[in-house]
Amino acid sequence: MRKADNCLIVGVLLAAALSAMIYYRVTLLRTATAVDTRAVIKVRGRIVRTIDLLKDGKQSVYQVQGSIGHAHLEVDGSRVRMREAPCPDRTCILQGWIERPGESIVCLPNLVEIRIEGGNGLDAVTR
Amino acid sequence: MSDTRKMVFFSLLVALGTTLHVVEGMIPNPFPIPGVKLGLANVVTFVAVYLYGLRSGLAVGVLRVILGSLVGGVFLSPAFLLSMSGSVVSTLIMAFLLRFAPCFSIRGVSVAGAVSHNAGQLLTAALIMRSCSIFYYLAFLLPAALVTGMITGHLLDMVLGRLERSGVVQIYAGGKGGSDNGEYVCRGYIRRAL
Repeated sequence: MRKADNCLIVGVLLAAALSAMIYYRVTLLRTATAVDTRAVIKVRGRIVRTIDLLKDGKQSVYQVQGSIGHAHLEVDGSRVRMREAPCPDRTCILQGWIERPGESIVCLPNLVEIRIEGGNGLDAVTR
Repeated sequence: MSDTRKMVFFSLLVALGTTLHVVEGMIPNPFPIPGVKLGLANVVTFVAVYLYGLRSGLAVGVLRVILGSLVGGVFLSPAFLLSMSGSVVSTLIMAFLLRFAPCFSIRGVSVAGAVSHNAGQLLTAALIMRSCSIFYYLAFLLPAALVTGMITGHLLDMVLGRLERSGVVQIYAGGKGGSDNGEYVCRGYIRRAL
């Protein structure tokens, strides 16, 4: 191993740590007490549906036509999850429930993205 | 090395790359992170860049992705676009480093190739999804690329050593002058040997 190699490895690790920190700040440190949140569902980057998430809302299932098949989303009060998906690896389903603003479920094979937005009356926070 | 010899070797590289691409896709992912692969097919692309330069490396990389996805039945799907962009970006980066950054060893270039492969893929994924959320995935992919890049780099050391010893390819000839093929990369290898 050369010196330059080691610099490269350190650089990659730093980049990984940085993206992990941003990920942590954006998704995990958001307050769980956010109100007025909504789930924005995108297929191929286009918003196909927006669902208002209410704390005392009822449980319901939505169906969205993705790139390779139907995705079934389940909304339970203020949280949402992917319940059924036609993708081979099922990562989106295994991710479970999301409810904090900024959290998202991305199903790459099916090109479906669920993202929680809103909360505290802010659209976005600059960092 | 004559043109015929080069053509045969080049064809072998494409065939090998395609086979590794397809076979690797059949192996269940041992990591808990989806999308992480060892990148064995990139070893072949590296050898092509190393022996014949950027254009041949790009050709091998692109051809093996096209052939591999035709075999796998994902031609022109998002998965194909991801493979293609990763392959092209990593080939460009590896060729650049081999040519202009002799301070890196083969393992270093291999790591850079693995990392840029993932970066290129995520960039394409972000373009397809028109969303930046996917970049959070870097936190998982980068350390994985580091490990897989080291492993393929070690494999590359072994492969190039064997190619040279077998006499199929005169890797060391470039440095002594008078070689017809090999050019900069071969001389680079002498500097980078061991």
